[in-house]
Amino acid sequence: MIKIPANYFDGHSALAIKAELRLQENGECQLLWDDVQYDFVWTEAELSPALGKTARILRLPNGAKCEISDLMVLARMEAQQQAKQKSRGLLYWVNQMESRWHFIVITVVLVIGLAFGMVGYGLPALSKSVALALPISIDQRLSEGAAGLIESELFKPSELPLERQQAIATEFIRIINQLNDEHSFSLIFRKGLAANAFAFPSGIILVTDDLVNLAQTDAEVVGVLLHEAGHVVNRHGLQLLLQSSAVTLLVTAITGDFSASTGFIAALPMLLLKKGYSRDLEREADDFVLEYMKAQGLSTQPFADMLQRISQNHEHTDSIWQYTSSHPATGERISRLRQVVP
Amino acid sequence: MNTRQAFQFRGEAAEYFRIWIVNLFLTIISLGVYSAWAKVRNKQYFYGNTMVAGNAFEYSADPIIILKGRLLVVAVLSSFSLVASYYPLLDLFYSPLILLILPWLVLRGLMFNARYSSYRNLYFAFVGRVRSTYMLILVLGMLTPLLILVGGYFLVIPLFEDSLSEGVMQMIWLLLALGGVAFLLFVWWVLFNYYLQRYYVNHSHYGRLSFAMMASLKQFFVFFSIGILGFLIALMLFLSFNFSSGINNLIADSMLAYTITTVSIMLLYLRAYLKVRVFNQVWNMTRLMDQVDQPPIQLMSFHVELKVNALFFVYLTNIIASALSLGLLIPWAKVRLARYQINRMTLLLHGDLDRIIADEKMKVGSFGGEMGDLLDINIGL
Repeated sequence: MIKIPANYFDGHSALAIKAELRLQENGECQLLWDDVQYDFVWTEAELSPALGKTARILRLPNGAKCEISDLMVLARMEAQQQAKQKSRGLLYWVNQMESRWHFIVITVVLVIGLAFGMVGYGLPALSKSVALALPISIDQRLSEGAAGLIESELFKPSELPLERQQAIATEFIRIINQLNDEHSFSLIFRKGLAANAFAFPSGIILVTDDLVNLAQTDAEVVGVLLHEAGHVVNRHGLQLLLQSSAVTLLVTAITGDFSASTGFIAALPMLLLKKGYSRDLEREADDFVLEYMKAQGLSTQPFADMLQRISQNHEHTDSIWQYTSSHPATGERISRLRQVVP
Repeated sequence: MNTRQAFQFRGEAAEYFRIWIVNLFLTIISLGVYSAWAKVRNKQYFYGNTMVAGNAFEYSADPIIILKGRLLVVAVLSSFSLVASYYPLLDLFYSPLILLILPWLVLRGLMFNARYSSYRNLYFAFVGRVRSTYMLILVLGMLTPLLILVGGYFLVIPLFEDSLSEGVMQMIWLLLALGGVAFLLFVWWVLFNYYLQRYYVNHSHYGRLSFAMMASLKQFFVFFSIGILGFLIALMLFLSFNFSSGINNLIADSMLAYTITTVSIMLLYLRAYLKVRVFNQVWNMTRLMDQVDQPPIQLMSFHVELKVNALFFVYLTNIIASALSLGLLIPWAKVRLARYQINRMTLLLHGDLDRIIADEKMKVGSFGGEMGDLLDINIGL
């Protein structure tokens, strides 16, 4: 027989009664207080799972409860009756994990590993496959603001000679037709925002006069346009959207119950993550150019030269629209391209 | 008979860390399914370590019910957004619909939480009505500020189009209009906070006892006015001190970071100030009454004294530690915060504990079906 002190709560009033619980080897229990005795069978009562050093609650068949603080003796009672119990239950194992420091060390390492794996590989891979599976019509919707932006005060009509525009457009259309992509591409020339090129998810590509003027040959411009087309074909606009919502969801899930301070804590890592993702996408767009050039037996030299020139150009402009800010280091990109120069 | 019983929080950071990291790990590898168990275990840890008069609180919700509720919400929300992405027109109804069911979710969440919270085998209950919940959260909480902003917008816009009143007069009108909108928003903010606290306290029950909040609206206006005025004065002093040499300084990146940090800390101090004043006021003015006796008998009240500087210090160090440790010190932060708040609370008993008895009517599931907690909506109480 094992004896243990217990606080008895009858469920009708908030009175705490000091009682004694006795457990016989055959599983019969007696609860004694004052001159009252309540009999029940161990397996009919329900014991709350162990959790830290908190007192455990034994729910009695009559709806009353016992609060038991002597966890050591209680564990002995459980062990004694183990054979009669069906199974130990999930939370028993959870508590075993929580109570052993070497498990905790492994768990910490695994959580950190999983977090990095998820953020570094899982999320980008997942958002890529989801983006590629979604219908093209979503890209149209994502670009609804494009027309407004193009016609806004940020840009003025292009001042490039029409022949130059036409020559670039012809070459661009020829390449696009070879791509066999579902997006309907279009090319727009505008003046403003220094030497830049943008792609909207729907396939609209905008190139500024400064960029065209910076190029020494049309092939150099086409390289940049192809890089932008890479963003469109690989659905990067949609991918970025999916990634940033997933990151927000993830950070909220981890810090979730940490009330309003979450904003402070989460802002910086989220910003860094998103920067990192867009760098990966730039690399993928460069690869797109590479593969096309390789397949056509063309040199990647003009594109590499162009990148070099854009980065030099940005060094002496104060534009806040740093073309390179969310891009990988230009030096690294150029050397990647030069490696495959035939 | 009057007795004082101090609340005590017994949780420890190292112990809670182990529970927290195992929760996180199992949630990740079960792709979120374990989150229901994690939630229960988490709550049980904080309840089970909150002691008063020698006994702890208990949280006894069934994780399976929580899991079902969560799966339902995920299914509904994802089917909504999937449908909306194919039929853009439905998008127009999508967000309003979520806002429309939000008050109901809040109510169900409060009911669920109270229903599974107990102390000495007597259960808490939340008896808010659907109607008053919608009045509070939808009408006062969402529509009123929207109305103020829309009204302000239509008040300010004509000032720009009207070319007759140029120069100084226009500026004065503009400032007056903006000031008016700001003032109305301030009044709304205080009202909403007050009625939110009152809604929560006055609909809570413990056994047969009902909670009654005696704090006055006037007090809330005093606290919020002091808080916001103090914040504005500090902000102006800071700005005039640092930017007297011209606005150009603001452009510099380091200056911007410095400004954002300082203003965030000021906001955090404001948060600590309001939290302390509201918390102390609400709990010190809350009574537990036995309504069955006529006139009702007051059986319990509370004495709480949080300090602004101390809570601010806990907030600030918690945020810094959590951020620098990439979240690994969040458990430490949570335990510290709970310990500070709970250890400064005292229960005042006016009468015998055995007078506090269960409400037999409530025990027989008078809440209708168990909907489960559909979402973890924390309305900041």
